[in-house]
Amino acid sequence: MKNFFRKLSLSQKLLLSSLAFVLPIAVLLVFVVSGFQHNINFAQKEIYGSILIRRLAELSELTARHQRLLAAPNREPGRLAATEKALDAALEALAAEVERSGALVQVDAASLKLAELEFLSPAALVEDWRNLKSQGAAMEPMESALAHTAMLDTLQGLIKRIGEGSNMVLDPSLDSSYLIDVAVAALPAAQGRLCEVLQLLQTGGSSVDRSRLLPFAVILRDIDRGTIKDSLAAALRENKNFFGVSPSLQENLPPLAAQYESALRISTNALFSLAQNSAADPAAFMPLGKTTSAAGARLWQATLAELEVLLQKRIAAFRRQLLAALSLCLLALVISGACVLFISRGITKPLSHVIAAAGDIAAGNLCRARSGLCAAGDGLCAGDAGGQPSSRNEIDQLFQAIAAMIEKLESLLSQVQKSGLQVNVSSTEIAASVRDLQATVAEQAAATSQVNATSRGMSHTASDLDETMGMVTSIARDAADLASGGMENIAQITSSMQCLVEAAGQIGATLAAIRSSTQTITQVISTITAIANRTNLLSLNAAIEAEKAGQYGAGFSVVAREIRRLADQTAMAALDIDAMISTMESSVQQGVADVETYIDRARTGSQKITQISRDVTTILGYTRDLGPQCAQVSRGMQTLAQSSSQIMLAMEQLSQTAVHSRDSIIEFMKVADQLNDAVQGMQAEVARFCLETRE
Amino acid sequence: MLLVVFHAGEERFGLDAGQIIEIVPLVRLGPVQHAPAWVAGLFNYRGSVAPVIDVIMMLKGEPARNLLSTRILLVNYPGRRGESHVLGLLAERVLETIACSPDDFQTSGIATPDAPYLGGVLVDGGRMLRRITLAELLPPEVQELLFNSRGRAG
Repeated sequence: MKNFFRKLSLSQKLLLSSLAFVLPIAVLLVFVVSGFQHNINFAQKEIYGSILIRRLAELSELTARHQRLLAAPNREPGRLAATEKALDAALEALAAEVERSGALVQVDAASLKLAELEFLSPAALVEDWRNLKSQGAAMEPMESALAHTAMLDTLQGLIKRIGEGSNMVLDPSLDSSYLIDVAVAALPAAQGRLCEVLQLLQTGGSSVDRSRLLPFAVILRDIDRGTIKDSLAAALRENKNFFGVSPSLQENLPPLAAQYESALRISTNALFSLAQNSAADPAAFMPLGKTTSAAGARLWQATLAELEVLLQKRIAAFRRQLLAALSLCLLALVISGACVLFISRGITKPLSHVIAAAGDIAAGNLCRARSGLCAAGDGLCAGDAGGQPSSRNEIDQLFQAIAAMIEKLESLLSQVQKSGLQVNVSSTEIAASVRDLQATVAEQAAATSQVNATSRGMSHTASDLDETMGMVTSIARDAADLASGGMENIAQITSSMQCLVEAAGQIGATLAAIRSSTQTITQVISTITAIANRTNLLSLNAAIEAEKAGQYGAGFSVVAREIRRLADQTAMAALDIDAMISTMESSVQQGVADVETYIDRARTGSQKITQISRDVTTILGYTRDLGPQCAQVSRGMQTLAQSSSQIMLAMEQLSQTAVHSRDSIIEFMKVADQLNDAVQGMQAEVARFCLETRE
Repeated sequence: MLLVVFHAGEERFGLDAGQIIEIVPLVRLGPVQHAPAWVAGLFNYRGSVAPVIDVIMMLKGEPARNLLSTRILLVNYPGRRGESHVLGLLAERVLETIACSPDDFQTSGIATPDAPYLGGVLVDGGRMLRRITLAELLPPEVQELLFNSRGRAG
């Protein structure tokens, strides 16, 4: 199914889809037409019924007249013959009508028989009439009246049957419905009652039973008159609401109805007075009754005629509506068909252009594709495709897209051409580079053999170094022994230094004692000096006193001089001691300072020796560590020797690899040549496209 | 005659021992306000107050240094009206006496009207010594000041 649908062309698909729409529309149309037709047939049936009823009304009028002529005391043979003739003609016409439309309104023999109403058939009516006509003249007045009444009843029943059979009782519009009400029910009943009254009065004469008249009068006045009047008024009122106003109905019916009503009013009044007043003359009523009957007959006929007009009008309206519906449907169909055609043409035609352009592109003729596209879509050339605002039309968009595609393709192809050239150049360069690479690989091979020789030398060197490291290890062991010997010496030095410091401290203490002694000496000397001074003063005063004593004091003066000389000598000695003491004191001070400096230095030396001791310990540790480290170095050297042999192996592999890479390079050169060929092939392929030279 | 020798700077001066009551060591002196600079202070001599003159200040214009040999020479100062007053003279290096005769002195040959107390010059062992005439040591107005005020006070 899907494949089948895909194979169809675009216009065929459109046709199929429009068919799918047309089918339900056609079904709907059939329903609409049949509905209208039903309504038209309905109205037509009513018309047939109305025509038949008109004939029946005429018949009942004629029958009543015949009965009255027969019953008249002074017979008028001329009029009777004419009436009989008219009755024959009317019956013939009725038979013809029944022949024509009896089946439709269900009054033909078959349908009446089906409804068990054979006595109502027109054939039975004709039979009755023949009997009445052959025996009428010889009949008793009462017998004749009964026969006529039977015929009138048959006519009434027929009218009722027709009213039902022709759907008149189901009439859908109010105006016609009311008219039917008048024409089929009310007016025939009223006419029948009037006829009966006339018959009574005619047969009874002046000795008529007046009490029998009263119900007729009451019914005629209170029911028939009101019903007929109201129904006609309603029909006239409702006329404008259904299928337009009928002018003939509005003009013809009201005067006839007024005439009938006034005649009926007068006759009923007369009938009342006749019924209630025994003195009233029945003969006086006869002309009134006849006039009223005639007016009723006229109104009946007119009502039926107007009903037919209304029904015709309805049929015409329905026909118009049907025509309008049909024409609208046809118009819609035609328009949709045109649209389908237009759209399919609008799609298929540009598509064929696009297909041609695509074929051109496939063939490589881009110039022709572009020019074909330009010719097909006006103003949609690739040159101005970008400048235009994009259209909402998909076809235009397709054209623009194709144009853009062609442009892009052109640029792509030119790009490919350029790239091909570049690739060509590049492949040549690659070939040159590969040649360089070949040379480089050869150099690499040479370098590899050099590295090989070097690593061999390195291996030798490493084993030499290993031996040297063994020697270093033994030397380091000796050094460690020496250092531990040095450590003991240093410990001795440290203890000696400690003793030195203590001795210096003792010297310092001794010097301090000397210093205090000198201070004591100084005090003694100052005391001596003071004593010498006092002695000097004393000698001076003694000399003065001796002088004052004159020549008695001469000896004393000598003593005084000696004392002064001793004092001077004492002072001189004290001065000498003082100078010596001060010299000594300064020496002691110097000595104290020296000792302090010495103690400081000794302390510093001791600290330094301690430091040296620590350093030597550290050195000793290092020297002890040196042995294992040398062993590590030795191991490292062995590893190095192994590594260099591995390097030699690797170098041999590298050399093999270089041989391989030389082979690969030769392969690569071949590939580059192939690339060159491929690029030339591609350029030839691109050259197949007819490109516009745009530069 | 005997001369008590004292020094003012490098110069040597001599004072007649006959006029000296006693030589005492330098002691703390009582202060004298609003007196000339060469008045060193007041000295308590055996219960009576004696003024002390700084001879070094008078001769050299510098106050006497506080040496062991700086001593106070207590003299009987001859007043102009024949009375004598106890006076202290503060001098440096009062250490020795020289015995000499009055003829040994020579005049200096230079008149010194501003310093009338400078007497003759004695050469002793190669070194010169100048004799101080005690009675001329203090100017009359100073004598008036020192002794009269004392007299009035006494």
